[in-house]
Amino acid sequence: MLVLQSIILGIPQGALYGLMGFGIALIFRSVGTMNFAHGNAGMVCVFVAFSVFTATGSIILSILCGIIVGFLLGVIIDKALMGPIKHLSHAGMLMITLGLLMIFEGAAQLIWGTDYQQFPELLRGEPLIMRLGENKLIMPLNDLLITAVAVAVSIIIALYLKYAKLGIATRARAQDPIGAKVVGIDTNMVDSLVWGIGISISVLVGILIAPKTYIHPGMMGNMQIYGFTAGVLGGFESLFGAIAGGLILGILEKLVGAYISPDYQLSIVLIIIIIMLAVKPSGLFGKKSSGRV
Amino acid sequence: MLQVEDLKVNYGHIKAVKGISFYLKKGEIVSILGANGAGKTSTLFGLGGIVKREGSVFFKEENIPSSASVKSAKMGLILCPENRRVFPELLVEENLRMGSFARGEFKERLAFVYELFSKLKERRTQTAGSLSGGEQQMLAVGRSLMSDPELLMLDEPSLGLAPVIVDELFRVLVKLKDKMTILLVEQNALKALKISDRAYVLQNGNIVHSGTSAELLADESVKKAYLGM
Ligand SMILES: Nc1ncnc2c1ncn2[C@@H]1O[C@H](COP(=O)(O)OP(=O)(O)OP(=O)(O)O)[C@@H](O)[C@H]1O
Ligand SMILES: [Mg+2]
Repeated sequence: MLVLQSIILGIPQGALYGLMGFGIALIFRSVGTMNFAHGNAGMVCVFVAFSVFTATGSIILSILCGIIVGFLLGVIIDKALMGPIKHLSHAGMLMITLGLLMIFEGAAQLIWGTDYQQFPELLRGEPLIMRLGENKLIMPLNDLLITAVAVAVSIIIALYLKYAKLGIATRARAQDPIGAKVVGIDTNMVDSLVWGIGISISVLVGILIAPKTYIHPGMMGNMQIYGFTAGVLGGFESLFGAIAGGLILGILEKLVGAYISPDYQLSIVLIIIIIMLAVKPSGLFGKKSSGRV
Repeated sequence: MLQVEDLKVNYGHIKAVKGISFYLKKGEIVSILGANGAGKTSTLFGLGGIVKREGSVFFKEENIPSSASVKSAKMGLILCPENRRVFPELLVEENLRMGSFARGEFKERLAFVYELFSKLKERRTQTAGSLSGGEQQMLAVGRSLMSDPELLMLDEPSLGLAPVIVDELFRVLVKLKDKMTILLVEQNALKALKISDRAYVLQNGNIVHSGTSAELLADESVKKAYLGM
């Protein structure tokens, strides 16, 4: 029974890891940057959402503001920082994201301080209780919502990438930048859009996890690591690999917590990254790797 | 239709194109010939806004700035690049849809392209990467035709194709002549000259010969160097 309960608790957690990995993979596939500041960019915007919430008391408005500011932040990162060196160096872009990681954390500490702030759950109420013979399985209501949001967001973005003209253009740009240019795709605009969408997703993850972690400058540290691991696990070349990778991770984490010890959760994740990179660098769902696309 | 003055393309301190001037009139097929590394691709990349360039380019009497790939595509100055550059993981039809990204009415152009290359219609739900080399080349040409080009720039469209397919491709180009102006870069100089009105010969980034196809076909030095005759 503990197994089932761990799985049920692991799914919402894993869905968030997956969403995080999805955003990181989206940026990596399209633009070629491994964004180490993904979580912290989201964290800053969660603080913005928190400030809006404190000022207005409206959850909906604060979430909306957080996500919009996240989108803008993504666009600004691309235009101001990545744009000038995009054609020169992938390593350079990586260094910039590492710098941003620290700048965001420092900025958040300066502006909002290091206290833990509370953010309300979106859905309160009695947890869902399922009976299986003698046993009870518990699914908190907010967890249900988290899972639903994660699934919905992934589906929307999948549909966008598959059918929308700009979505197809995003994939095209990732697969052949010169081919994209000759058909008249504004590749810089597509990149900005990808950054915007990617960071918005991180904000959403931050808002969904905030009731559990509280809001503070370090709140997304774990998310960054787990999201990255979800990507490694799923293989960065398939976006949905990241979602699946996240789910596996979330469930595994709860199982380790239940059967071994919560203290080992993070180290086990790190061991998984190392084993994965050594055994199958293209990820569980990746085909034989052919560069980044 | 196209007026190019003093076009230069540099990669760092490598000078690939050293200030060439040429023009195309509406409805012409003009070839650019030259050995490997002569600067043909760089010339087309400069015109299409893929790489930075110096010099002035006027297309339909309008100045096209450097690196203005979106603007050139929107105006109908369309490049079909060397090495196909199709999107390997997109379906054939998605590739064609991207062809009409900047201009061209999708349904209408699609019908036109499928009529020209019926093979593409058969393969429309396959990924571009799973096509044979020749089919990918057709897709590349088809994709550029999707944007209803006014001036189509083709960079070695016959590269890697079997002789029969090359003939078929050249027949298609001749068919396109009354719909658009064509700037053709080819290794296959003889075939290119046969369908061209005029040609320029590039060598080390400079134009060393120019004239009508008949003139070039009669020129002894051109014959020796580029036609292997
Ligand atoms: N990205 C680049 N960086 C540095 N040098 C380059 C680059 N692209 C081309 N060159 C150099 O510029 C010169 C012209 O190259 P270009 O590709 O224009 O030749 P080409 O005439 O198209 O040759 P080919 O027939 O082999 O396609 C060559 O000497 C080449 O080495
Ligand atoms: Mg070339």
